Amino acid sequence: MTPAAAEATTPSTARSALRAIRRAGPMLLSGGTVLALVVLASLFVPLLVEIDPLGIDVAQKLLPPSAEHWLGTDEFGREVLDRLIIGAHISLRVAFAATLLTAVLGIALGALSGQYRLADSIIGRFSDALLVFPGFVLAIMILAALGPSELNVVLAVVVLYVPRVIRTVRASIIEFRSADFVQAARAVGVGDMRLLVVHILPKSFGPVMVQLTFGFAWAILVEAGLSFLGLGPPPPSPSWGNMISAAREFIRTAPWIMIAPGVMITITVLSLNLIGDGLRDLVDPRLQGKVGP
Amino acid sequence: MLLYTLRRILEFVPTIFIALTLIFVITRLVPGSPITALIGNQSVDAAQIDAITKQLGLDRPILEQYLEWLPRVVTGDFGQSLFFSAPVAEVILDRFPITFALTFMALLVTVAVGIPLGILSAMRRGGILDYFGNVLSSLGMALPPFWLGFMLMLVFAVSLQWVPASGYRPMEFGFWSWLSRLVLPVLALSVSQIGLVVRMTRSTMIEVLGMEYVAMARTKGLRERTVILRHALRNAMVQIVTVIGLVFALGLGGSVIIENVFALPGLGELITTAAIRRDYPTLEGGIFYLTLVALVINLMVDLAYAWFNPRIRYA
Amino acid sequence: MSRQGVAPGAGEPVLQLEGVEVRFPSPHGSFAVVDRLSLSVTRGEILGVVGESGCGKSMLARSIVGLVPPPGRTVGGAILFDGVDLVRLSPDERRRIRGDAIAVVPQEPMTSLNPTLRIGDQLTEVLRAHRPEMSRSQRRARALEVMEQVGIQFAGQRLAQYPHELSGGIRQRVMIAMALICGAVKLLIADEPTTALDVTIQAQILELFVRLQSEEQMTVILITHDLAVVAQTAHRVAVMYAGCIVELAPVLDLFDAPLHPYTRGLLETLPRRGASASKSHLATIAGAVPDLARPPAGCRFFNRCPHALAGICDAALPALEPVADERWVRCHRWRELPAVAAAAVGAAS
Ligand code: SF4
Repeated sequence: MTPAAAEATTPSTARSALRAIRRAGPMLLSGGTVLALVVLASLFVPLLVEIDPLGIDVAQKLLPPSAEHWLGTDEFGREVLDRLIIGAHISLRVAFAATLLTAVLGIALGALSGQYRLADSIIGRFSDALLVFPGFVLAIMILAALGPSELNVVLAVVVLYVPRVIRTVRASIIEFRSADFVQAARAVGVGDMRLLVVHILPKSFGPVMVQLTFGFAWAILVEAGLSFLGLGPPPPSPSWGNMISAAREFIRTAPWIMIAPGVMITITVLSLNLIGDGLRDLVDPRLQGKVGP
Repeated sequence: MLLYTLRRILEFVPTIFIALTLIFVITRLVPGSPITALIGNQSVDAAQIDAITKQLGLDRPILEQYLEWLPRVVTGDFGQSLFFSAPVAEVILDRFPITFALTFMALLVTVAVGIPLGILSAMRRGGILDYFGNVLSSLGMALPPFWLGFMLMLVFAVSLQWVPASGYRPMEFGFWSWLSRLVLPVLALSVSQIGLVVRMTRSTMIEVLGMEYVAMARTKGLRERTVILRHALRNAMVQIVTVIGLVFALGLGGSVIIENVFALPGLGELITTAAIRRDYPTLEGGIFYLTLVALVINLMVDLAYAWFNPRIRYA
Repeated sequence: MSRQGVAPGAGEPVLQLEGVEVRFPSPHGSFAVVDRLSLSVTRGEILGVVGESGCGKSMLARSIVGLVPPPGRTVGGAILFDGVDLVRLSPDERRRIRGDAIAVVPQEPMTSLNPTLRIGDQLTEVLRAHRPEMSRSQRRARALEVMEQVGIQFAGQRLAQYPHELSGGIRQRVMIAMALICGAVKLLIADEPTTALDVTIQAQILELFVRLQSEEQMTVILITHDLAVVAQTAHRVAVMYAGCIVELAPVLDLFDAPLHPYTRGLLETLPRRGASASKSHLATIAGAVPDLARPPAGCRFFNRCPHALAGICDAALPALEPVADERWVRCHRWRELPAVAAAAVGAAS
C-alpha cells in the first residue's frame, strides 16, 4: 500500500485485522470441515460398520460402483471404500507423525541456530546441503538406503521438511532478538534460555504453524508418491499411494479403483492448504507467496 | 557482473562437494549395507558377494572408501552399474535427454501459462480471472501429479485415443511420434507447477504494483502499458526468475515419478529402478546428475537475478 | 528570500477546486477523506497545504492528478485547471496533463525512483510519453539541461547511474528535474518534498523550489505536515483537518494571528525561539483524528479542541467563513477566542 493509501486508512489497524478474519474465515471453515470429515470418518466408521480392507472375495472382483459396493471393488474383490477409509489412517498417521517430528526438530534446531553462532553455522550448512537436492529425489535416496517402511517414510519427510522450519524459526528469532521487549527483559536480568522460550519462541508460533500446515499437506503427497513407487509402507497395507499403484494395471478395465484414492488425496491436501492459507492470512498477510505449499 | 559471476561459480564448488558427500553418507552409512540389501532382493552366491564387495570397495574402511570414491566421481566416473552391464555415466547420458525434454517442456508450459495468469490476476485483483486462477492454482497444488498423470491417460489416451498412453519413441521416428508421447507427461508435471507460479507471480506483482515508483510512473503521465511492462514487471521479474529456478528443481524431482507413470525411460525412471533394485552406483550417479542439473539451473537463476537487479550487479 | 505575503500577480486562478469529494468504501459505508473541499489557487503563488498525516492533504493532491488509489474515488465536485474541468476529461486526456502541465514531486525520492532503471531512462521516459516527436539525442540534451537547472553536477555521468548510487538530496533534485523536463509545467504539486531529507538538504531544496517558482512562472502547491517548511516558502497557507480546510490565510497573517484552535495547536508544536529543543519536541496536540467512517455531526476538531463548547460546537459543522481580507476560518467560536498572537512568530520570521 502506498503511504497515501495508508494515510487514508490509518485509523483502521483494527479494521484490517477484521478484514483478515473475514478473508481467512471461510477458508479455515471449509478446509477445517472437510479435514474433520476425513479424519472422523477414518476414526469412527471402522467402529460403527464392519470394515474389512483385506478381505479377499474373488467372486466379487473388479465390480464397478453400485448400491452394494459404493465405490466398487478391486482386483481381489476387496471393497474400495473400506480400503479408502483404512488408507486414510495410514496416510494421515504418516503425515501427522512426520509433521510432529518436524515441528519438534525444526523448532529446537531453529532456536539453537537463532541463538548461537556456532550452532547456526553447523545447522545452516546441513540444511543448505539438504536443500540442494531436488526434494523428491532425496526422499527416494533415503528410502532406497533405509528400505521401504512406514517409519522410514516419516524419516524421509522429516529430513526434507525440517530445513524449511529451521529457517522460519531462525528468522523470527533473529527478528525479535533485538526487539524492544526482549531488550527490556534482558535488562531486567532475564536469562538467555528463559528469554528464548518465554519471550521469543512464542512469537514464531504463528509462521511455524502456517508452515507446518502446508508441511502436513505436502507430507501426504510425498507419502503417496513414495508408496506409488513401491518405497512406502509395503502392500497389502492400503495406503492411498499403494492403492493407486496397485490400480494401474486395471486403469482400462476398472478405473474406479484408481480414481477414488486420488480424489481423497486431493480433497485432503486441498483442505489442508486452505487451512494453511487461512492461518497465514490471520498471522501475517505479508507472508503470502513467501510461505506456501 | 563478471566479478559476481566468478564469485558465484566459486561458491558453487563447495556445494557440489557437500552434495556428493551427502550422497555418499546416505548410501553407505545407513544400517544395513548395500550388500545385505542386495542379498535380500535376489539370490546371490558367496563368490558374487565377494566380487560385488570388492567392486564397491566395501571391504575397506569408510574414510578410505570416501577418499577413493570422491576424486573418481568428480570426474564423472560412478563405476559400473550393477544391473546394466555398462558404466553408470553411459547409462545416465543415454537417458538424460528424455528427462531434460520432459522437465524443460513442462517448465515452458508452466511459464507460458503461470506468469501471465499471475500477472493478470494481480492486475485485476478480485476479478473473475483472479478467482479462476486461484481455484486453478489451489487445485493444481493439491492434485498428486502421478495420479493426475493417470487421469490424463484415462481421458486422452484410453477414452479419446488422441495420444498414446505411455512409452517413448526417439525423435528419429518422427517429431509427432516423439511429441505425442510427451504431451501427457508434460501436462501432468506442469499443473502443480503452474499453481505455484501463479501464486508467486501474483503476490510478487501485487507487492510491486503497490510500490511508490509504480505510482510515480503513473504520476509522470506514462501509459498504463509502460507502467506495467517497464516499471512493474521489470521489478517483479527479479523475483519471478527465482521462482522459475525453483520450479525447474521441483520439476526434476517430479519427473522421477511422472516418468514412472508413463514408462518414459528417463533419468527418474532409472533412479527409481536403481533404488528398488539397490543398484547403488547407478543410484548415486543418477541422483548426483539430477542434483547437478538443479544446481546449474540455480546458478543461472542467481546470475539472471543479478542481471535484473543493478544493486547486486555492481556490488 | 525575496517574497511577499501575497503572491505576485494575484487574482487570476490557475486551479479552482469546487466541492471536491474523495471517498473510500468501507464495510460501514463509504467515508470522505476529502470532504466537499473548495479552494482557488492563484497563478504564480506557492500555496502551503498543512495538516497532520491522515487529514486528506495527500489525497487532495492525488485527486487533482486523477490518481486516487482504488478503491477510493473522486466522487464529486469540479477541478478546474485553466478553466477546464479535469474530472470530466477522459483517462487518456488526464494522463497527457500529468507530468506535463501538472507535475508532482513525491515525498520519498528513494522509493519513487525505480531501482532497476537508470536515472537517464527515468527522466527521458517523461519526454517519450509527452513529446513523442523528440529524438533520442534531443531528449538527452533536454535531460542534461534540466538537471543543470536544478543544480545537479556531473549531469552526464548521473544519467547512467542507478538510484541507489545517488544521495538523498540528488535524488530529490532528480525528481524535481523530472517534473520540469517537459518545460511546460504550470502547476507543481510537491507532496512532503523534504520530509525524507536531513535539515541542511531540506533548506537547499526549499530554496530551489522558491527559485524555480519565479524562474518558471509556475504555481506550486506545497503539501507538508511541517509549518516551518511553509513559513519558509509559501505565500498562502491552507490548514486541513479531517478532510476539510479549517483555516486559509496569507502566511504572515497565519503565523501572526492564527484563528483556528487547530492552527494554534500546530503552531505550538513548532520549536520556539528560546525554548529548549527537547521540550518543544514533546509538544503535540493530544487526541486523535475522528473516525471518518462516522464523522461527528459538529466540528470535527471537537474531541481535541481546548475551546470546545458542548451544545454549540458539536451541534453543526461550522462553515468556512470569510473573516477578513483573504482570510477564512472554520470555527463557531473564533470571535470569542482570546487573540493569541506571537505564538510562533519566531518560527515565522
Ligand atoms: S468549533 Fe468549537 S470545537 Fe471546533 S474548533 Fe471551534 S471552538 Fe473548537
